[in-house]
Amino acid sequence: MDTEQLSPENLPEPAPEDLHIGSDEWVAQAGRRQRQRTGLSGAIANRWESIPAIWRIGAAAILLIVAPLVTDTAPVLSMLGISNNDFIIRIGATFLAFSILAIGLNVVVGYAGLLDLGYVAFFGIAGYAYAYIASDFIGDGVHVPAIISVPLIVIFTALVGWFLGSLSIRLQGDYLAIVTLGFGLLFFQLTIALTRVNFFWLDRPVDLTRGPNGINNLDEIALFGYEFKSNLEYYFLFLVLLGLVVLVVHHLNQSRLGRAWRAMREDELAAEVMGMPTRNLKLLAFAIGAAIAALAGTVFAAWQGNVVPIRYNVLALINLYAMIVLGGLGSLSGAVIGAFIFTSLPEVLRNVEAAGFLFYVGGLIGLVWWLKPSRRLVAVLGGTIGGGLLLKFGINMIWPGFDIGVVPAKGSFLNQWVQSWLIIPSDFQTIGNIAIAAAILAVFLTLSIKNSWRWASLGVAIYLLAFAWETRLATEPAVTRILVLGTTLVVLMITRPQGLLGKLRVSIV
Amino acid sequence: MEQFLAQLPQTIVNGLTLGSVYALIALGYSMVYGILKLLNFAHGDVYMIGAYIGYAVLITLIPAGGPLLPTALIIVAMLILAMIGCAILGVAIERFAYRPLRNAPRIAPLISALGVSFILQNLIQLTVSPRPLSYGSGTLIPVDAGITLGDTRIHMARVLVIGTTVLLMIALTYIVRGTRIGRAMRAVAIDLDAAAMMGVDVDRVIVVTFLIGSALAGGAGVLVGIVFLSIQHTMGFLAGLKGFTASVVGGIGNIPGAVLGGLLIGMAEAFASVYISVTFKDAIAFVILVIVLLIKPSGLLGRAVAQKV
Repeated sequence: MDTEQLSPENLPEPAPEDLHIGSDEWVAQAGRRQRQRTGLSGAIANRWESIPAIWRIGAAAILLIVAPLVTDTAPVLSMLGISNNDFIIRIGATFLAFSILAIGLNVVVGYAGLLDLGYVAFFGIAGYAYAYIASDFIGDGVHVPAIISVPLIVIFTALVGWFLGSLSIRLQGDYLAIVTLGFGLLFFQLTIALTRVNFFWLDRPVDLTRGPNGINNLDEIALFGYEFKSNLEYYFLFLVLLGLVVLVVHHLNQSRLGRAWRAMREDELAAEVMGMPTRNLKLLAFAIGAAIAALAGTVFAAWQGNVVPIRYNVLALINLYAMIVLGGLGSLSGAVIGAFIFTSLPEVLRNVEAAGFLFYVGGLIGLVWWLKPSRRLVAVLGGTIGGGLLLKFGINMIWPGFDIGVVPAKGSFLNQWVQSWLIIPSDFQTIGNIAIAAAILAVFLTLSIKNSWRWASLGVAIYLLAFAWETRLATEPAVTRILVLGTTLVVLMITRPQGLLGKLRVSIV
Repeated sequence: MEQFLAQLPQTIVNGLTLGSVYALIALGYSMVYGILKLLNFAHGDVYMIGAYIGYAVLITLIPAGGPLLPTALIIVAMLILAMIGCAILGVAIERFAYRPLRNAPRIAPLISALGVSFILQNLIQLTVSPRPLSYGSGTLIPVDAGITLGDTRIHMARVLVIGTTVLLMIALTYIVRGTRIGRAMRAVAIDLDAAAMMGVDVDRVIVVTFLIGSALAGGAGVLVGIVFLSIQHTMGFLAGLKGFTASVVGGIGNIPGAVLGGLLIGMAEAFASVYISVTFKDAIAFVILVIVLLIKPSGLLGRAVAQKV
């Protein structure tokens, strides 16, 4: 419960529409406090929310339909520095597939409040099921047409979800998370391990999964004689499926079922006492989540043309959780936005120039957001830049030749500026490694010191981070991507644990 | 059958070695869960950092010219420095990644822990090396050193691992059972709010818990390096998951349970890789996890907790 003083004297008179009989005053006023969003972002958010939902969804849909056509035009391609639109379409289709997955996970975690850490297994089970019934893997090849195989797999996976749920349902909270994580890991390990299985009625061992290499040459999805082949066709297929899933899940959430889930999520015991069949509600959430994962998993496997164990490992699960948590648990648009950020950000960071731009601009925005436009901000920025220039000048006077003055990462005009500010010694690799450690230390110091030395430490941290970025991070995009992901998760959780679009739940103890 | 008997003693020794390591990792998980109800998924990476600190001490004390100290002292130095380093790391992680989230929704510290895990792994990959490093066969313990029990020859490194683990367990048992802070830890584990009202400094207890758990993980990292020689930045992931599995199988929050679970998982893994197939080595831990949880949801030694209203 919030600690602010709520004595009857200093409590503002609540508006009549905010008063609900039987609810806590503070909770009753949550709506009003939320409307009191201030500043530019608040104004934009209020404006956005005053548009009717149908228009907002329509705008998003049109944007997604038009996007592949827009990115195909010459000016956009040249701006992004690529020659082929197919790359973007591929990322777009991945984004849509992961949106579907994230929405499915959101049903289980966000709506029903079940911490399911084995969700990726359903994605994988569907993929492998599709590989069995739509490729040359079994015997001389089984090729069930998609119009039958996709619904069949969705139903089958939903049943698997129901079954696994019924095994683990009596576990509460964390134990549920743990046993589902066990299922997920087991699935991943078994896809690798089940290459020589002895059945007693067969005389030689059978290869069930082809191990880490996975199963190749899956059939394309073909509906009513039309075969989906190109990335663009799959993009639109995923878009249609996403629309379908959003529609279904939105209406589920508005229905009795959604209300029952919310009640169960907030207080399971109370819901049960009110006569809700909590066991079936949970199983239904598991099954619906599994079915949605299966839908995405089948089409994803068909699109890629293969299934490989590595696609279904814990990293995929973490990515999905990052998406729904970033977007905000229980928020449909949040799940889609989270999926967009976590599928596009790693791709953007592949490009050194764009990554550098994001790093500096993002850092500046973060700094302004933290310190607010104030004299302190000017002092920190001015001090850092001035100190850096002074240091560079001094080093060049005392020890000419130490500073080679060229940053290793090639890139934009930003690098030109940074070059004239940072000292780049010839052995920048080793010193860059030390700078990374020093930068982390400086960030920790900044966060823990309370007096004015804090701001000096912040300046040092900024300088060291820029140095580490230019010398080491920008040249190792693969590592940097995951470092950025990890840092984003920690910082996001600390600053806004409910996610971007999530609503902070009031817990009444 | 003959082959089974011939391989049995060596498999048991292997299982005990693996089990000791898992038990050390499991203890950290279990202690933190017992107090904060937090699944600290960054714990496996603390163990990995321990192995790297041990490596750094190793190459500092054994330069190309030859060892600067007797190898026994070097091993002690590696263990102690790795434990100190990991203890500091663990406390820092608690301070910056978990403490701000003490009252946040349950999923928030979980995600934060995963973020820390990513950061640690990739920092090592970036600043040290993406390739596996080797402690070097025979540099610390001669290849032929060992003791003979009946027909079985046990390599000295394995004796060292099992012996060190037993020593650390005794020390831990003393801390938890025989000291003031240990009593405070037990009190906080039973009821955090009540302990705080009785005047226990909960923050301090949590810091000490992270300190001890991370130190044990750091020690486990060095021991793994000494026995299996090869260390890599990704080693913490699977080992952490298995240590976690071990603590859950034994009953999470329960210290003897974590040890029992660790030994069980280690034994199962050793037996599975000899008698079933090497590819099943990693799957078996999770098979046990699922089976144990479905039969006895609170773990082997865990007590079922009644739901409080």
